[in-house]
Formats: sequence, structure tokens, C-alpha cells
Amino acid sequence: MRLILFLIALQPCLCAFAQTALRGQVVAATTRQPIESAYVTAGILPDSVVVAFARTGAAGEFTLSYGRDAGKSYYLSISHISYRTVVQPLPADAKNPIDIGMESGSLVLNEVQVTARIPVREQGDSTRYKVDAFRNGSEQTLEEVLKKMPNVRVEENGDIFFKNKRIEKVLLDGDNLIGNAYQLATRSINPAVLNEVQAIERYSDNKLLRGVEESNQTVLNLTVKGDRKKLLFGSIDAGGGPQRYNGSGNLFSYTKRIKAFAVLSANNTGIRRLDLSDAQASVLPDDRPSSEQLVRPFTQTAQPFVRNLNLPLENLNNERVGTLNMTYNPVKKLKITANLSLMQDRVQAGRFQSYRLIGDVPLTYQQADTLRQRPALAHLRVQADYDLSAETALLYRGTVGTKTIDLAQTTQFTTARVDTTDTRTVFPQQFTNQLQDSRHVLELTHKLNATNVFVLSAQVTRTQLTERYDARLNPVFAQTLFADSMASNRPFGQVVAQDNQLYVGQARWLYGTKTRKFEQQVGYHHNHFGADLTQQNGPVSIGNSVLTLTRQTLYSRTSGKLIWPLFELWGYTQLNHVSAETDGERETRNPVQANLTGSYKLGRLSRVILAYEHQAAVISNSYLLNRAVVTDFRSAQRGQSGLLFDTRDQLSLSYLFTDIALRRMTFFVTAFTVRSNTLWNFADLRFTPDFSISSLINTPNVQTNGLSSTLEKLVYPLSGNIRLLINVTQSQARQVVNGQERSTVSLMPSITAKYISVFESPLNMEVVATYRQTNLTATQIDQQFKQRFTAFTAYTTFFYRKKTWQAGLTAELSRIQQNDYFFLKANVNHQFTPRLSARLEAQNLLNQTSYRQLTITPTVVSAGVFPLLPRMTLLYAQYSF
Amino acid sequence: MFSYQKSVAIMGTVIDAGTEDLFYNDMASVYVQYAKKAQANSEPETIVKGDTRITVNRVDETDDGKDFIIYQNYNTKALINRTAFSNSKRCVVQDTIPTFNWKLESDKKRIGLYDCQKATMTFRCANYTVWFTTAIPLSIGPAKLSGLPGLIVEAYNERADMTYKLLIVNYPTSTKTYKIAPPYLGDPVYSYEAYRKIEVVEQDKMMKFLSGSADALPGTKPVVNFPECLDGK
Repeated sequence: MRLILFLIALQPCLCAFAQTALRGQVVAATTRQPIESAYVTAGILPDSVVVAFARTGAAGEFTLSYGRDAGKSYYLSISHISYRTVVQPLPADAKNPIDIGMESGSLVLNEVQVTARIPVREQGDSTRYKVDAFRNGSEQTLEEVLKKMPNVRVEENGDIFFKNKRIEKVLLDGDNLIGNAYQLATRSINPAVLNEVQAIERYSDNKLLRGVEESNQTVLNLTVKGDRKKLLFGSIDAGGGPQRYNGSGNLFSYTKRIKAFAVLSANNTGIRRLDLSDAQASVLPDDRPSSEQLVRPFTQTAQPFVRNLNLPLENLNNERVGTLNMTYNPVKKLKITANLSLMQDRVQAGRFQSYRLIGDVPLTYQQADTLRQRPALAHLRVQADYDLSAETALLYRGTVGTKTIDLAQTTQFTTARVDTTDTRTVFPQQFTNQLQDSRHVLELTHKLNATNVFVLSAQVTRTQLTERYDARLNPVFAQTLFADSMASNRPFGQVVAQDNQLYVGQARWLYGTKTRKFEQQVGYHHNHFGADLTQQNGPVSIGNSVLTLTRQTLYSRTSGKLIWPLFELWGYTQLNHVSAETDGERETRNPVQANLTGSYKLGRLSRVILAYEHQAAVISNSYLLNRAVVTDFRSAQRGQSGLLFDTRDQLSLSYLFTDIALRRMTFFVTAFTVRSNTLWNFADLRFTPDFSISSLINTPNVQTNGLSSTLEKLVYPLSGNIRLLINVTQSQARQVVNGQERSTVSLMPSITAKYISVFESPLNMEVVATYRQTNLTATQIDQQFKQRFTAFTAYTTFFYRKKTWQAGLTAELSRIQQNDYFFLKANVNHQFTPRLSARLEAQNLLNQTSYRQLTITPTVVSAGVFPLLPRMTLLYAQYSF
Repeated sequence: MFSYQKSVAIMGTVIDAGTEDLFYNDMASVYVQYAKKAQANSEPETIVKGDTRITVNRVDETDDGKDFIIYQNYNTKALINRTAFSNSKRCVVQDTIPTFNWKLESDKKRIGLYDCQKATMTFRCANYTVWFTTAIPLSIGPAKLSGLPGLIVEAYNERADMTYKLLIVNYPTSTKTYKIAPPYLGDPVYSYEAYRKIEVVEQDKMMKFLSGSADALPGTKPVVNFPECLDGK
């Protein structure tokens, strides 16, 4: 019985493979003309699956062979683009040729759009990356994912570059919740929460100016995954070890009207997530325009140190940083954004530096410092955007902030002049620099049509700086070294209070299409500056001093850009009317600034750039007119005083070749000529007892001609997996200063050989050796100064990679000017679950303690000894929620 | 006119390689990879993945301002292809329209407006999976693909990890015209066999260069995915 059932069950299967051949002819129904290239298909109902097809020949004939399953019903379809499709049942026993007539009727197809899901998409000025497509699960932070994205590069300091242009700020879902100091965020955000990273070129902060304004700004916009947008989500990464800790956490909150993002971070492992290096800036404004085309004729040569180990110099810190950022949309037309940043650090370091000045008065001196620095910062920024209509918007931006730097320093100077050697010790000194600033901007934008926009803005800025100084000797070395009029070891203390107020009114008209950009600006600046110096005690009594300055500037700036497929031309002209007044004295000047640049595309990878630039920047201390303190040395010799401008004319011709994809190299060569009235204006405003600082090497009427070229990252395959990477920087410049010639010639080649193993195993290795040489010759007046040094570095890394385990061990040897450095570092990482991982990191295992660095400029040679971070071992845990 | 969006997946990352158009009349067709499109897509991409391999995608550079074209004449069976050697030198290759040994699968899916059926075959070492629709009874498709009883709506070249997706159908074309003619634009002309011999040598040179120049993670080696192999299989 079982056998019979089996046979019954088998029967249809046997029939299924019965081959059938159908012959026939396809003709036009009305004319009986044969139809060529019609498709005859056999299909199974009800799914209309095609099982066989044939194409008709010149006589309309066809033969269709197919395997027929007796249990299924078949249809025959005959189709042609110029005829109506014929569908009829396909008889099981069609042994005779069949004749099929087709009615004419052309097929007209409407558009069908199939949207492809692609992780990288370019849409106009924005390039969108799907974050998940670039993750393999081992990435801890957004930065590690960014490094994998095509056209994105992340430098070691955390700066992000897109198409070789630096990202100026990072937005979160279109809102300024991260801002300019984005390293804190990109080094802590867990990439799992993000949907897209969007790189936006030619970005304008003002949305009504987009597409009209000629903007150079490139920003990144991060979008969060829709399913993660809830009340609270984020991640924590915390590590600890003997005497060391490093932790960071980020928290997001998304509700209907409020979006918030917060980062908290603390470490004492040398990581500087927020840099306060500009905290001691003067309150005087800097009028110098920034230009990408300006050539720096002299190459400052700093002795290269190995980057591989990421050992920061003199950075024994204790940093605590927190930011809280949020946007609030009470109504659709209004958006309020607030950013609060708090930061505190404690840095301790000792360093020794040796200087040799090769200026008009050659001398050498040594300086040994012990530093203890305590920077702190609090900063609040509020922005309100209100749309009056679709074409008109009002913006308010206000910031208030305070920065404090406490510095305790002990310094010892030893000087050697032609005839004498002198040693001075500066006893412990205390320095406090406290800056408070507030800024309010109101901006009204009206978009006339798609190409024309008007912007009116008003700005009020106030900056107050208080510097308190207590010491046992005036530390300003120029005073000590050259005047030599001070008595040593006397207590000295002073307080300087500066107050700078700036009022700006500005009107802009912008016109912009894809190939033409034009902008006209008219503005007025009113600047009021006051300084109040109180000497508390000192070896020479100078009493108290009050300075006031009022400066007014009226300017008109016209800029434009023309774009053709191969050629671009852009530039600006700025006409200024500047007047300054102090103690009843008044002076006016009318400086002009201009730039014209043309860029011609020779091919896909290369271009030539011809640029002319005329700069005129106020020498900042010359605001104070005829006060003795502010007249620079050379100008005084020439009988000049008062409101002085540093003017500079530059003509340069550059050739740029860059092939990042295959050759991975950039070659840039510039021939330039620069003429300036003051080359080095040592324009520091310092309130020391007798106000007598002036520039030592300020030399008027300087003409510089030169040629500089750079070859970056040429990759030369030696054999197999061994390759050479070559970098060469060459610069030469010749100057004529008051009829005397000075010149500098520098050449800095570097060659790296690299081998990477390609074993089919989790364990692999990398061996790298680098040889660098620095040559600089400076000839000045009658002195020739030559410097040449070499550095050799080799390192080997072993690494082990499995799906949930990764480990690495690096050994490095460096020989720099007879000094040897040897380092070891190691790391192990394990992923427990997609949300939880642990890792162990250890660095400087042999505990190297200090590093020597040599820096050369055409006028100064300095050598410094800096402390390195000590041996460190930390165990980390990372969790995301 | 039929527009296809070409994309290349590189270790799981799909890169948009631009839009390519197919122009067709009863006698012949041209499939165009536009010069300007290729320029807009910036540099050839080199992607590094954090395991043991680096994959370098070969993006044909059309920076001489002339399009890459595959011309097919259905009467003479001629397939004339303007392409480039691996050293970027342009050439015209005279080939014949291949006879693809399509295997019809029973899988069906709807793409856009069309019910599509799956078909597979192997051509010059590459396994192809395509989805065609009998609703458009034209035996054409992206690149060199043809020979099915309907338009190819989606095609996947497994060897190059390359996907073509039909983006726009406009037939007879009302928006864009292109001369359907052999692409003799002044480049040297080779038979397929002659082209193959030269390209074997050029690809070998390129691999040697890439294995030395790919500035990749330790333990990486280059893999170049060509859509077709040259050993004639």
C-alpha cells in the first residue's frame, strides 16, 4: 500500500520534465507581414512566471522549447514594442505550427523612478554619508567612523577636513549644538545613534543667504536616527589606572519642542579637549584680514618629533570640561539656541629653553621655567531666530563669557653678550589674567528675490581684561637684557585694567547665482579703548597711568566672484577712512585693501593660481599716537609716529597638483614677491614700569622675492608591500632691507619606508622607518647662520584582530641629534555586547621623561627641553544606552 | 531613453557612480557613461576597511570630455565599445553582441511600476543577477546586458559588486536625444582579442603599483574589481 501511494505521488514529478517545442509565426494582423524581433514567452499562471522565451526571426518564425508540468496551466505571450501584446492559453498538445497576428499600437512609457538607497550621495553642496554603512562595530567614537569616510580626513588634533578643507563647525540635526570646538563631541559621541553625516560646502549661517552668499565655510551636520530620538540616550566611556583617569559621557534628549545635547569629560592623562591658549589675548582688535592666498616667505623649521605615540608635550593636566546645549521651538517661527560651556584645568610643567637671537644685536640667553597654570572658563551663548515672513528674518546672538588664567612661574635667565655673561633669577611670580567679554548682535535679513538679499546688522561688544602681576623682578627680558637699569630682587606688583567697547553698524547687499557672486558692504566701527595702570610697588616708581583711545572707521567693501567651467576669478576692494584720537590728538588715514585672484583648471588634478593682495593693517599699538610707549623703534628713527599701518603687497603665482586617490601626492609650488613697510612689528602692548618696549627688528621698506615648493606624500612602490613615502619642502627668499640683503634658504626632505604584512591570519605587523633632514641657512647683515639636523625614527607594530578581540603592541626608536628615545605602548579591546565593551591601554611603558625640541626662525634659534607624559595604564569600560 | 543609476559596493559601502543612459531604436542602441557625470563624481575612491583587505574601485576617468559608449547594432551583431585601458588611455574595441545563456528563475518582485522576474547568467567570469519586466518588451538593459524578453530593470554584477537600477523610462524619448552611432571619436581601434592582450599587461602593472601604493592599514592588500575578466571564459 505504501508503495502504491509513493508511485501516485511520484507521477506528477515524472511528467514535470516533459519537454515541449512550439513552432509558429508572428505576423501583423492587418497586413500579414511577418514581425521580426517579437518575443514569444511561455509562462505559468497564476504568477505569470516566464519559463521560456524565443525571439522571432526575419520571417516572424520562432521555436519555443520549454519543460511542461501537466499540473500547471500555461499561457503564451507575444510582445513587441510596436504592437499590442497578445496573451493566449498555451495548449498542451500544440504539435502544429501556430500563427499569431498582432495589432499595431506603439508603447509609450511614462517615467518610472526607482530610488536607490545609497550610503554616499551628493546633492548640490551637500554630501551625505550613511553612518551605519561605515561601521563594523569596533568604533568607539564618531571620529573613528569619520576617518573611514571617503573625502574625510581627521588630523591628530581632532580637526576634521572634507575635500582637504577644514570643517569649521559641527551641527546636530541642523542646530548649532556642538559648535566650533567640536573635538570634545566628535571624540565622545557614540556613532550608533547617528543616521547620517552630512558635509555641507559653501554653508551660510543665515539660511536666507544660502546660494546667494559666496561662502567658503564647510560644516558637518549630524543627524540622529529617528528611533533613537527619545527623552534620554547617550553613552559613557570611563577609564582608570594608577594615579590616572579619563572619562567622558554624552547625553542627548529629544522632545517635540526641545532638543538638548550635553558632554561631560574629565582626565589627567594629557588630553586637552578644550584649548585656552588664546586666553591671554589683548583686548585690542586685530584688523588684519585673513587670506588663504598669503605666502609666508620664511619657513620656520621645527625639529620634527614622532607623532606615532601621540605624546603631548608639557601636558600634565587635570582637565574637567562640560557643555550643555539646547534648542527650544516655542512656536514654528521662533527658535532659541543656548550653549553653556564650563571648563577648568590645572597644568604643571617645567621646561628649559635656550635662545639665540640673530637680529641687529646678536645675543644668546637661556631661560628655565617652572610653571603652574590654572585656566578656567565659563561661556554662555544665546541665539534667537525669528522669521517675520518667508523672506524676512530677524536674528539675535548674544554671548557672555569669562576666562581666567592663573599662572605661577619661576624663571632663571642667563645671558651672554659679546663682552659679558650675566645670570638673573626671577623669583616666584604670580600672574592672573581675567577676561570678561559680552557681545550682542542684531541682524535683519530680507530676501528680495532668488538672487538678491539685503542684510542690516548692529553689534555691541565689550571686553574687559584685568591683569594682576606680582614678582620680585621685571620679567620682560628685553628690559632686563638691554636696558640693564633695574635693580634685582626688588618686589614689584601692578594691576592693569583694560576696557574695550566696540559698536558696529553694517549694511550688505548680496547678489548671487551659481556662476556670479557680488557683495557690497558699507559699515561703521566705533571703538573706545581705555587702560588704567596701577603700580602697587616696584624698584622704580612710575605712578599710575590712564590711557584712552577712540577710533572710528568707515569702510566700503566690494567683493565678487565669477565662475566658468575652467576658470574662476574672485577678489575684493575695501576703502577705509580711519580716525583715531587720544588725549586730544587726532589723526586720520585712508588705507585701501584689495585682492584679486584667478584660478585656472589645467586638468582634473591640477590648477594654476595667480593672486595679488594688498593689505593694510593698523599696527595695533600705534593707535595710541604719539605716546612714547607706542612708537616703534624704526618708525621713530624715521620721524614717523601716530596711526601707522602695516602695508604689504604680494604677487604670487602658484601651481597645484593633487592626486589623493592613486598617487596620494600633492605638489604645490609658489613664486612670490612681497613688499612691506614693516616686516616684523613687535606690536605687543605691555604695561611694564616705563612703557619702553619697542621692536628690535622692525625694518621698514622690505622687499622679498622667493620661491617655495612642497611635495607631499609621494608614494613610490619599491616592491610588493614595501613602499616609500617622500615629502620635500623647499623655500628660498631674498630680502632687501634698507639696502642690505638678507636671505634664507631651507630644504626639508623626509623619506619613509613602510612595510605592511598581508598574512591570512588575525596577526599582522607593520614596520616603518623615517629619515628626516632639516637644512636652513639664514644670511643677515654680515652674519651667516646655518643649521642642519637629522632625525631618524623606526617603529614596529604587531596587531591582532578578531571579531570581538583586538590587540596591538608598538615599539619605537628615535634618534634625534645624538639623543635616543625608546617607547613601548600596548592596547587590548574586547566587545562583550553591541552596547558594552572594555579595553586596556598602556603607553610610555619605558617611562621616558623629557624631550628636546629645536626651533629655528630667521631671527631666533631656540632649543627647549620639555617633559613627556609618564608611564600610564588605564582600563576602560564603554556603555551606550 | 532609459536611465540607470550605477552604484558600486566596496566592502559593504555603496558608492553612487552616477547616472548612465541607454538610447534605443529598432536597429541599434547606445549606452552612455557621460564624461561630465564622471567628473562630478570627483576622485576615484579608495576605501579602507578595518580588516585585512583594501578594495580599490576602478572608476573610469572620462576627463577628456568625451563619453564612454557601448554601441550595439542588432542587424550586424556588432558591439563597439569606447573604453579605456587600465593606464587610462582611451580606445575603441570591436566586439560582437554576446549570446547570453540566461537562466530564468521563478522569483518575482515589484520594482516601481513593474512586475519583474529574476534571471541569472555568467559572462566573462562575472555572475549576473537581473530583474526584467515583460511589460516593456525590449530586449535591452544596462551596459552590455540584453537578450531577455523584456527590459532589465535592475542588474547586479557580483564580480564587481556593481548594481544598475533603472531610474527613468522615457520611450520614445521626449526629453533627451543622443546620436545612435558607433563611437569612433578618434581613439585607436582594436579588436577585442588585441584589446585583451594589451589590457592583461596593463592590469598586471596596475596591480603591482597598487600593492605598493595603497596607503592602507597594516595587513591590507589591494583587490581590483573589474566587471569582466580577460581570460575569455
